[in-house]
Amino acid sequence: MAQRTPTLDPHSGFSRRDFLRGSGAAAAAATVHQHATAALAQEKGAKVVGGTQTITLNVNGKDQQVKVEPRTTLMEALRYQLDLTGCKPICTDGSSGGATVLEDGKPIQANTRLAMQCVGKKITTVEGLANDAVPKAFVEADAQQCGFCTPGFVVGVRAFLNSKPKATEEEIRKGLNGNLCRCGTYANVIQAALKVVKGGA
Amino acid sequence: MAVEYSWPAKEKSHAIGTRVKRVDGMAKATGAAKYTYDVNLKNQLIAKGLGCPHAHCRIKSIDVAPALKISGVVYAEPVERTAGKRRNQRSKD
Repeated sequence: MAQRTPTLDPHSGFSRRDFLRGSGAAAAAATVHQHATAALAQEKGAKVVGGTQTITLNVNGKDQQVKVEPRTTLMEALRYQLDLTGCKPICTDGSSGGATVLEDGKPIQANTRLAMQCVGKKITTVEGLANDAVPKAFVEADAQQCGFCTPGFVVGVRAFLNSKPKATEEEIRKGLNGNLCRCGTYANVIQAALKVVKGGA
Repeated sequence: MAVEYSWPAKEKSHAIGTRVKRVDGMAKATGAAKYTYDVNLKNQLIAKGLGCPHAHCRIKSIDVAPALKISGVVYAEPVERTAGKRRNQRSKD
């Protein structure tokens, strides 16, 4: 998918392993660090998990079971197990805003959040906003072209207007700066958001 | 030969001068639209091209047997025509 395949570079002059092996002092320091990390994890009551597990995610008001590994992101669970493909893997680091979903009403990037972190949280995806005023305003204002980034924008607008229902154009511009659109539909997205503000939805 | 044509009267025109909504607008705005990227069939296989990780080398042989041993790998096909040739020679054969 969008993930880059890690390539091993045998010619790289530097490797972390060699670095740690390099001096006894460094190796000792690394061991101490490992112990410290384990101690810290225990202190905070963190649980170390491994392997595939079945967890329950509350998505769009429904409790649904997904099988995840610790590394599975929320986006992967949503897209590949619950078939909620409105959450788009435009980037893998949250820089595009394409994977914006709501977690307890706050916007998060589902591709930088692990599925296991979301247990007990209320997740709302763009599919859960189908009857919301925001997608309607997007169609009215023609705030889309290819539409690949649109779900992220819809969730972004909803989240921003939840926190600022009477936002001005200037505030919307700033509030939506985490979403990218290659078609350049920004002007109409802002008009759509203003429509929602005026409609009082 | 010029074709005589006159635009229909404004009240009879249903497209010109009216606002046209995107027909797939709602599907796109609610995440229901399926892009190729979103197709997620049961037992769907994913193909991947693997390039040589070395910038300057001669490929003498390609052994896909270890790749096939990895769990989940269904098929691997070496592209033999590149074996034994340098990168910049590929196009000449």
